[in-house]
Amino acid sequence: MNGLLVLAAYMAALNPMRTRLGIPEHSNGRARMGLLGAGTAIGAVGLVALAALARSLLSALEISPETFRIAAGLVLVIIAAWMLFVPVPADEPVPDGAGAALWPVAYPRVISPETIALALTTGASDGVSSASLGLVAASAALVALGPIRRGPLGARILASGGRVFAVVLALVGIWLALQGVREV
Amino acid sequence: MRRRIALHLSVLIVGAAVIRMGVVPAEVCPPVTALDVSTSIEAATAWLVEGMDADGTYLYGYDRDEGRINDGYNYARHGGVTMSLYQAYEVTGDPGLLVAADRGLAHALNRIVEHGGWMGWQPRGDIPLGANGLLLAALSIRRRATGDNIHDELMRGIGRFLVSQQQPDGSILAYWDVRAEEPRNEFGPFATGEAAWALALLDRQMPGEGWGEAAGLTLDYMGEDRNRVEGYATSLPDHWAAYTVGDLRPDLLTTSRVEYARRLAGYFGIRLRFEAQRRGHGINLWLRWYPGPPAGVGTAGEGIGALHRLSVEEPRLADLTAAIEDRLVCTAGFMVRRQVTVDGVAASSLESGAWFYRGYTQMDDQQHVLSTLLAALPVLEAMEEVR
Repeated sequence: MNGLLVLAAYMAALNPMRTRLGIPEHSNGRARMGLLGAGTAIGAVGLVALAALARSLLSALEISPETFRIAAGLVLVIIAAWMLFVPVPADEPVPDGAGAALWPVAYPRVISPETIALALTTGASDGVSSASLGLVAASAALVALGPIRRGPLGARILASGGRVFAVVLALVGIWLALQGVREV
Repeated sequence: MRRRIALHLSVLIVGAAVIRMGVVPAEVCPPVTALDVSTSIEAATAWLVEGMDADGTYLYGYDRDEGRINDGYNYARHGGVTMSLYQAYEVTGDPGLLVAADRGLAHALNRIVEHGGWMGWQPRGDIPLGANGLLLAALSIRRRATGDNIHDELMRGIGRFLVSQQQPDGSILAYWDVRAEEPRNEFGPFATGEAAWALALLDRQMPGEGWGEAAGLTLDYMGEDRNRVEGYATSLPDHWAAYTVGDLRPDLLTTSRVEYARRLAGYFGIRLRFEAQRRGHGINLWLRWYPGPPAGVGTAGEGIGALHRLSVEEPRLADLTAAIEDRLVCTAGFMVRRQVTVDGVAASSLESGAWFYRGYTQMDDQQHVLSTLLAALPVLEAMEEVR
């Protein structure tokens, strides 16, 4: 995958606009920035670690990186379809205190089936630096959306943008699956 | 909250399990050494040679469940097995294999006909392109391995037959109609590639006579037009095309031919990755079916093997070498494991050295897997040398 495609893939998988709708907020409708920043960082570090271990992990599972691309592509397409039909993530119970950075921000908002699949496939095929760059850019975009107030209009814009990212995710998934079939 | 966390984790774990079982089961590549492969090659050639009849034909097929020998015959396969035996002689240097291959060759040489300046092998009825292509390939490999030029005029004669069947678009008609004394308007799924490869090999043995250019024309046809012209819904993963591009003169390797080689490598790669996922029992049987017919697996292995040398020598394909070697060594590993050996259960001389598909084996099962192992052997030797 070239740099632009990796960037598009991580943006689509993390889907900052849809994910923003699932971030704990203050009563004024703005995201709790401390939780968002910390949770996104924790999630991103976890995914980078996964990307770094991807080759060893796939090797231990006796899966070639080329074949895993097919699986990753399939996961991305399924999740993209889910995002299209369910544009707003389900409300999750939020614990008191800093623990909310872990749940529900780091998991399941940042670390999710689609980001796990993408981290594994890009880590195994393109290396950890490529995955890191994609994750940093997508994480920065998510954090940048935090101050947006979630009023009726804001929510609609975020949901619509999330659908656009979902379409991109589906296209990336199809591309990945086809690559997995065509590669040696 | 715990309930929600458990729900999310459950979906993640169940989803991962489904993907694991349905999409990415383990690709099992049993460890294999050059010695294992050499032993397997020896056993496979023994099955072919010991099954030869006095007239130079090979044992065609054997059903071990019914204990029945299939006494049918196929002359394209005769040419193919003879060619594989010459390949085996070239790699192993075993003089017994040269003698056996020459016996197979002699069977064909008894039925050579001449017409309008060309020569062709006429096993029976109309003269088949594919069998003649493989016969010429066998003769070319024999010449390359021995330096013996005794059959040069026959090789040129068969070369002229193949070219006489070639059409301006590069397609090659599959039969010469003996009664009508003209090519029959019919294609064969593999005959085209067999003929193209033979022409590429002939060009290497007799350069400057235009054989390579003819092979290149047909290679372009196979890569660009064949599916449309011959009505195939999907691209043929043609290992003979892989051999052709692998043996084509370097100055004939145009960009489109190199790209065709890349596409072929992809077809064989996915086929062999899929094959490595097959166990043939339990839930894997339902999801992946039985381990594939040896001839089918062997052709994919041969194809990837034919492209290996090209990827090493051709910088535009250098990025494929490591993956090609992975597939080739993996295939060697599971095919050595699948071969019936002397130590196997109730292995008789009709079983030992053979690869069976659901109780049945045929000469081309041994031929194609043998050619795969012959391609894998130098790769394994080089890897072991580095270690």
